[in-house]
Amino acid sequence: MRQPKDQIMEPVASNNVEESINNTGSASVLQKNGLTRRDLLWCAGGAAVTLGLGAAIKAFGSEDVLRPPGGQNEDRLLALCLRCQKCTEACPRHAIVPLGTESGFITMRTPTMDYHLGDCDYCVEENDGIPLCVAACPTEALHLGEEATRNNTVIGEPLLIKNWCLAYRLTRCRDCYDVCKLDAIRLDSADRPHIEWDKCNGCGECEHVCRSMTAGTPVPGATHRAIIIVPMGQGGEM
Amino acid sequence: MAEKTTETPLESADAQETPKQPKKPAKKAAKKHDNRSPLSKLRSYTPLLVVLVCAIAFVANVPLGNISSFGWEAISAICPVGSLSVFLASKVFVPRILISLVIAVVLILLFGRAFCSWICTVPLVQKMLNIRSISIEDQRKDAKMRERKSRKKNTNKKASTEVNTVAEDADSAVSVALSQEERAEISQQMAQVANSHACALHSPKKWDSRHVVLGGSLLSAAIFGFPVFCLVCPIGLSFATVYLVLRLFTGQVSWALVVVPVMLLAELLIFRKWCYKICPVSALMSLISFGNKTFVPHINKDKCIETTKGKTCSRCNTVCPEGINLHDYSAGKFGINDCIKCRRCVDACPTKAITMPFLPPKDE
Ligand code: SF4
Ligand code: SF4
Ligand code: SF4
Ligand code: SF4
Ligand code: SF4
Ligand code: SF4
Repeated sequence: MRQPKDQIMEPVASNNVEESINNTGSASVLQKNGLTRRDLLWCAGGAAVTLGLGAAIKAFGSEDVLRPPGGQNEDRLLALCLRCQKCTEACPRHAIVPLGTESGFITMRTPTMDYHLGDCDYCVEENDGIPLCVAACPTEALHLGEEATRNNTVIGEPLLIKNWCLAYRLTRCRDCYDVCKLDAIRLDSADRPHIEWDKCNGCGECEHVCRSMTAGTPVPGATHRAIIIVPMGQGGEM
Repeated sequence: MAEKTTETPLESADAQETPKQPKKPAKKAAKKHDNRSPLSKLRSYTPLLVVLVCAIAFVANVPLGNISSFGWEAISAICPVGSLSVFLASKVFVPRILISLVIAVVLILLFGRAFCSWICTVPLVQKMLNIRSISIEDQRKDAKMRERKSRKKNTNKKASTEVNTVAEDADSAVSVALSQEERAEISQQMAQVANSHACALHSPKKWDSRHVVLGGSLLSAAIFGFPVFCLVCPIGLSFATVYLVLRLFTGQVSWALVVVPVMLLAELLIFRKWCYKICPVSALMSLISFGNKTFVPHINKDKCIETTKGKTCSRCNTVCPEGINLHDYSAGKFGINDCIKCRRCVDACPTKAITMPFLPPKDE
């Protein structure tokens, strides 16, 4: 226990000098209680950048994207979403992914639907039809009203490209028809799929199972599956 | 242990300058890390632990969130800058945001800015980038290294001429010291380096550029209708990077994997003093921390060298990354409301005079 004391005394040797420095220091302070010029520059820069950033990002704009249930009001979602990615974590079917830079900067890291890993069944199987993503969202950026149901919460609509669809090559593929739980796909006399527009809610199950362009069944010229879910107004049979 | 606790940067600096002085074995330097209390050691792992927990939650599909909003469903601690931003941006009253804001405020009232040294991922990234903005000890080590180098170069330069440069920034502490006679001057400088990094000004500013960034961010959110700062916040970006890497394992590749880390690195590399000049989270926390009365570092006047012997010690001030002067709050660079509860002062005090009690002791 003696050693520490010795050591403590050591720096003390220069005490007086230090003290005097401190005193002259306080006397020669140029700015008493305000900000230095450099500080003010930082302040001005900070204000300019934060406001400029907001304007620039907004002006850059964004494309329409699919949103998880409850995120259909785009303005509300952009305003309230913290980009925390909790909804991505919450989705038991891995249907929600955060957006990258593809569709604009303002939407970056906000949630969108990607039906490659799974579809959205409105959490019927996993949570009795109470969407887990909506429950997880800390800011209610995803928000469903009282009257919201699986059927009237429309995420997007299908785009069916007949040229790429195996059924239109008379292969009798009907996977999408078989999985659709809302009976939104009907088969014609040649067993080719057609969309029942007023029944589809964009759940993505058809896209998820579509055989075209999935492993083993490449289709010449195709860039994506024969049936995909796209934002409202962009769908159709073509 | 007692021997180790006395090892401080100031002293080892002196040891470097005066090799003739009788000294402890060189081994001691290697053991230096041991002089931290278990709590302080824990502190260097907690941010990593938080990242790990969040990463596991992400992989396991547990919606725990990350430090932008940590919690379960309606009950979470949302970053207060985030919750204020989204409130102003949406102009919608959302009860769970209010709950989160209250939780955040209570936590800050209880723990002050402890978030910065115990949880925030930014210092972690800064450490990886070798940006020494938060640890003054590291800066001092840097300074010493340069000092040693430059001593070889210009052996005749007078130390005192450089005091002013030193005062400007610890990074430029290339002051040279040569002989025994100049030892006093060196200690001066070390003290200056210590104080100066921290106190170009002698009274803490009530507000600084961080607060302007905070105000600008909130105003911008209100005008443009989205939480502007959240998009560029390095805390959010660091978690986004972790998530993007994890998503690679499920085959989800995106340009964001380049854009997000580049944004993060650019921000922290361009604004090397992010935490002191920009971070609006720290600004808001420091404002709320004016009401923080718990876990405030407290000097036991019966043990402190300065109060008992009337001599200068200042080690608590020297090691404080926020440049807080515990003897006189008004003399530090930042006020006590900016204390990040890092316990560096507690560990540095040679007589163990500093504690961080739950409630302020009533002895004075
Ligand atoms: S409702 Fe359920 S399945 Fe659909 S996106 Fe949300 S969490 Fe996923
Ligand atoms: S949980 Fe809500 S706030 Fe978080 S990313 Fe999803 S939509 Fe945005
Ligand atoms: S057509 Fe596709 S997206 Fe529409 S409800 Fe049926 S499976 Fe879902
Ligand atoms: S699953 Fe795909 S390929 Fe098969 S019928 Fe449906 S849209 Fe056509
Ligand atoms: S000042 Fe900001 S970025 Fe730095 S540690 Fe604190 S919260 Fe994180
Ligand atoms: S006063 Fe002590 S605990 Fe607070 S920031 Fe400074 S060194 Fe850390």
